[in-house]
Amino acid sequence: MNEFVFTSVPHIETLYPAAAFGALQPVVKNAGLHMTLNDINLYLKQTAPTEVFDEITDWSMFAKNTLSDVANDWLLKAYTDCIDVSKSGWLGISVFSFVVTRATERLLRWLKTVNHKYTVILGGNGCMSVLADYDELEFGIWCLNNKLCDHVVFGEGEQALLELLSGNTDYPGIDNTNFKQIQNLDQLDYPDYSGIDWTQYHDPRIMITGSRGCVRHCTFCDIALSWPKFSYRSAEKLVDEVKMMVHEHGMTKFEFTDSLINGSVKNFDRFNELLIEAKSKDPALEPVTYMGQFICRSKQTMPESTYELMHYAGCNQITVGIESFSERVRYHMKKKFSDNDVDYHFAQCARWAIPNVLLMIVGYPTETQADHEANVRAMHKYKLYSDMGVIFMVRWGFTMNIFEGSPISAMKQELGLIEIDQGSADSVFNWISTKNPDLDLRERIRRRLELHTLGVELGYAMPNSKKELTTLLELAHSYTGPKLIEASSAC
Amino acid sequence: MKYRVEVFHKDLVGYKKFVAGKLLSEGSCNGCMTLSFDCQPVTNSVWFEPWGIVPQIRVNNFLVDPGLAGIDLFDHKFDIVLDKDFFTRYRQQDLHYRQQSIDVDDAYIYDSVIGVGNLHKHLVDNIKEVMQIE
Repeated sequence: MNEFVFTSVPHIETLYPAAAFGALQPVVKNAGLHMTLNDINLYLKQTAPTEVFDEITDWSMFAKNTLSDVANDWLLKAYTDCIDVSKSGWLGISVFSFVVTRATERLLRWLKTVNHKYTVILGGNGCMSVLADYDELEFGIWCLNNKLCDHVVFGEGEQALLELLSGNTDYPGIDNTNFKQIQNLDQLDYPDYSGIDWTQYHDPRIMITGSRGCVRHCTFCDIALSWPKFSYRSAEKLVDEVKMMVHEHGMTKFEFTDSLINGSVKNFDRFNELLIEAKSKDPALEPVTYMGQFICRSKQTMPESTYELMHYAGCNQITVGIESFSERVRYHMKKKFSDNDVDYHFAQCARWAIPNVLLMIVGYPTETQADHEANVRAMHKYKLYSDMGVIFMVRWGFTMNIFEGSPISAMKQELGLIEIDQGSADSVFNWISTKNPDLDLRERIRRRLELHTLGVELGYAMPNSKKELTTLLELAHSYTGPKLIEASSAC
Repeated sequence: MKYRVEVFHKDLVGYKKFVAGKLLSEGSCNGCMTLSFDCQPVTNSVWFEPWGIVPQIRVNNFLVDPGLAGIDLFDHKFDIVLDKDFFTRYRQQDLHYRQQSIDVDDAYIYDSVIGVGNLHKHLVDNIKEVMQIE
């Protein structure tokens, strides 16, 4: 049993290979095994009709509860074509996040129907996701309870997987959620992307990890479930890895997997300084660019010199969770930055030509009409930043959803949150707040449409609008809010 | 309306400012200079010393891409037109090159990668109808 088959299922990005493959290949090799990539997700993207792939994506993202027969057939065909059941070894399924759980469950159920000799392992953040579909249990635990897989690696995989492949099933995080977070990321091997066929990906890039966890504890985010503590790699190691990847793969485009690249501003500055220095010494590094997720900070904690270093080091895009242009809403979210900080951030990004992808949440439980109007005003206020590409794009998303495990799910009493159709997958989107009763799904979608229409009028780039609106239409069709409210009133 | 143009490069030591071919000012600097230009449809030229450097240019606090800004960059100077449509042209060029970068004329890919100007009115109207939104 010296084969390890790594597979990804919908829905994850198909522009580039999964970071987990590169991170885990050294571990698998250290265990004396050979690793291959069977990317079911990519296979579907490349072979299934667009509308089928989109349907599977929506279903994976809990925006749609059922699959048509056609989509179901495609999913099963992908499993059959990608997993060679005549072989034996380890089959590692990457459960990147909760949006991978449904396709993973289908794959595991399909595996039960065929005669195979694989030892099936699940790993990834999605194993910790607690969802109504899975009896409000962690997905990995639910799979174990239902005997759908042999093992689940909870938390980070690098050490636990090596233990598991070496026969030690008692290591923390193997088949239990008491995982041990890796304290020193510098001790990990550099990722190994050998065996990847880069030509299969539309926008190939090297994924690089600078840190894990986050320095914030935003109410809507469940990242702390996987990485309770923020830890980061030394700038020296990071730049060394960049050099190695450029020279081994000829790749100069890098994307950080971090929840935020500026969690430690000091280390981030050091990384940029070292990369600038390395570029000045080695022409092969000159075209290196990087992108990553970023938090908005105050001028005191992030001076102009940080933005300047980013510019010269090759930062060509950051993704920033502004979430709301209402300071009041952000305060409740625990985002910890002010309207002045947003102004400062955009001004610096303009001065140093750093494009921003803005992640927004429409209809946060405390969002009032006045807060919504703050979003509307900001769209007008920041139009020139959009025109000049500083706001490269805005992602308004599908409206606020509430998942178990995120801090806000523990605030249900405080916020008076009631899920409509409790226990169904739709309830993550379809909820009301007794403390903010005007904000039902209908009102959230109304606000979302208003921002979409205004964004189009003002020329903002809002990619995937068609897909997002189609998903909102699905949600609209399943809207049951008034029924429940009427029923409650009747009682 | 005036435009504020910053020019910077670590080796920059001198400049000359021309508007419509007429020399208006010149001087020395230490890596950075800031010049003011009236908003008008004429060619402004900034000569720099030493020759051969590639200075970076900010217009009204935006570090601009010379290609998108319509800047003609030579080894000793650059030319720029700063009329009332400067930012509009910049935007149009940006979108033009974004479209070129995806290298396909496909509505689906345009929507998924660029997504400017797509109201999708039928979807918006459909959602409003289903949810009875005014």
